[in-house]
Amino acid sequence: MESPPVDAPLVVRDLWFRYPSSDWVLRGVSLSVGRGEVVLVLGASGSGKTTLLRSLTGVGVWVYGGEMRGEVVVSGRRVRDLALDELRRALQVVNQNAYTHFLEHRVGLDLYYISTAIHGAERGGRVFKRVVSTFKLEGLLGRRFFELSGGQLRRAAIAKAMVWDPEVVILDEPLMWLDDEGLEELREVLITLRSMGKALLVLEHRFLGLLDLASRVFVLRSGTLSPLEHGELRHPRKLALPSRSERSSAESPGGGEPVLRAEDVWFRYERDSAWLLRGASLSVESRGDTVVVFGQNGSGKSTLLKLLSGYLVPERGRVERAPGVRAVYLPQNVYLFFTEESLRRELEVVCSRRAGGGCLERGLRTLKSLGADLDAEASPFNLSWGQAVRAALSIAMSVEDEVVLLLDEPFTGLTYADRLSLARLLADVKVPKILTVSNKETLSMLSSLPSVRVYELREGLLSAIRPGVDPEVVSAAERCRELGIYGVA
Amino acid sequence: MSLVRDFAYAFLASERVGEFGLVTRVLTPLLLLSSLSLPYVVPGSRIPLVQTAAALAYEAVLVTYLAGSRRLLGVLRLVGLFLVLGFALNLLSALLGFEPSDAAVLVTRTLRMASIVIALTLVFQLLTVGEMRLLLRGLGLERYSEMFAVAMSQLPTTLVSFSEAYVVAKLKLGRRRIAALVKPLVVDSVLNSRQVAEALYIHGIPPAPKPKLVSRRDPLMLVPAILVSLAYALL
Repeated sequence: MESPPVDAPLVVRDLWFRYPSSDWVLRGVSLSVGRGEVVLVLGASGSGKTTLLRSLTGVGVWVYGGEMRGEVVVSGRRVRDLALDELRRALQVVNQNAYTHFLEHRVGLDLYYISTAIHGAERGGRVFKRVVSTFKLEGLLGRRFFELSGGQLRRAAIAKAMVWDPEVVILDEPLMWLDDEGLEELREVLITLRSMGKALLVLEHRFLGLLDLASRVFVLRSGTLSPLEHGELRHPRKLALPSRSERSSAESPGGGEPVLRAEDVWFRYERDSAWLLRGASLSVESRGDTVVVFGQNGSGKSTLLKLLSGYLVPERGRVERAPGVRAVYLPQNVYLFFTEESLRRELEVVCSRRAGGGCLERGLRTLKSLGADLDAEASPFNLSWGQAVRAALSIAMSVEDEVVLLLDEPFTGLTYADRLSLARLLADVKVPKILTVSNKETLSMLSSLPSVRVYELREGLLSAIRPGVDPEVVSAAERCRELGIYGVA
Repeated sequence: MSLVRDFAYAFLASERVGEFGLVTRVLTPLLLLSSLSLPYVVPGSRIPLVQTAAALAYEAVLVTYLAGSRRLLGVLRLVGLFLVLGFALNLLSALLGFEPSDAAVLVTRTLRMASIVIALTLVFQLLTVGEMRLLLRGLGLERYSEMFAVAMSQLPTTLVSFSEAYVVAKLKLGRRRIAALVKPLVVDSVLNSRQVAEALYIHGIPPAPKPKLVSRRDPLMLVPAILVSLAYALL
């Protein structure tokens, strides 16, 4: 491990922070990030990573009204002594939700406006051109920010931060929603920033793809930061999908009649646009059959789920659901699943639609068995991501009718340990289900489980594959649990 | 849902706004909106069929140029839905014994309503968020200009969340309780707004640079707009 630099652009000394009427979230955090350094801070959801970020920028005090002790020094000056404009020129942040960084819908216009507002018309024009060329945004300038892929969006948001030409750049969970291609894009950007001598602080829990770039790694637990020798967490960065010859026919488990079947489905959103799905076929059968659809962002995974749910109608081909089978859809943002003020009320509402008795009791039992720490009176909107996924599954499975679960990227936002835990839980749940995945790490975890069939969705076509299991991903997940980098046990 | 999406896209600034001066881009929709609204404010005035059709035709050409025919169809589809409902109500009123409106009047009103909605979308297609903010600031509405800019920037992502919440609620609760989707959407918006506040803290809300006021291409847009509006107003 490299030793911390002496004249670092970012120095944090004995930082304590708490929100109004709460206990201390940070308890004496000390850290420094030197020029050209990438410092990785790992931590589970709720460990205080975002709070650390808010403390460094002053948002925690000025926006959230929190109390801060200790010292944050950026470019040799204490943050509390900096005017807001000076702070923005010294330190920039890219949020978890990069969509929030844009005001203009078109990327080019947004970057141009901020460049000229900061540097004036003439110099701003030059800065704009430099940033566009450095971050290879030429092809994205005319695009709308909400139409970009995850990787492109992060690249554009980082470019916007670089318009300020700060010495320090902080990225909060930059891999959130990113597929494998997005990860590669982000890595390129980080390498560029590092070569420019920027001090980079990355707060992340999906870290395997970034380990080789990091100079130092810390773990944030119980409000304190401890250094980590990360050599033992290393793993082959590129996981390979099977070659064509290794592709399997993804035999169904042979458990009886299909409960849901898509046959030769063709779909596109506009009549004059390209086909998103071109003859996709799959079926899910019996109890416990788990179908995984793997594909990059924009490959049509969510669209496929919406077709299977009956919400969208295929232009050609057909989707058939066995009589009495109900589809339940869990969206990427799992909090959108909840419509009531407590988990009990959620169950009551879902059960009120069904004639069969015992639904509520069954739901409460399932809730308990899937997540021992879930209180039925708790608001679903206050749950952690992992808890929310478990709660949604319990509610979906409470009714006696036959259900097929459609889960859109349920692993996003989870730590490695929680992913493994959820993968095992899904394998145990005896309900037919189809879930989508966009990165090979998670796919590797799922592939190790029984009764899992995997399809790859690429260029509108579904092909059955048999991906290999990377034991190092699974062992990294286990190691994370040992290190306390997990949210829900 | 694609109906809503298409309609929402009609409120996004066109890539071609830079081809015209700001004065023309502000005046054109304002002229159209004010002239098409005249029959509402002038008592006893009739809605001229030919002029209304001319206004609609001009708008159709303009929207097609700015955003493509797909966006035009998107707007017309949603407007058409409401117009069909209006027709149905008219037929129902006839069945209930009320005097139904004259068919020609119905057609003219239909065309005018479509023209007004398209003119309204033109305000948004012809001005970027930053330019609207500039105009509002010019009117002394600094605070509202910032709120407007933030609201417009988050509208697309809110619509995506709406689409997701709609699918969930429909499958989970059925069509009858579809209104339940409001709760997760409100919570989602509140959570999102915190991140927006943090992003604004770190970037601020930069004003748009002063746009060019006039352009050589302006007459191509402005002259037909003046002609159509005058023809309407003189009747």
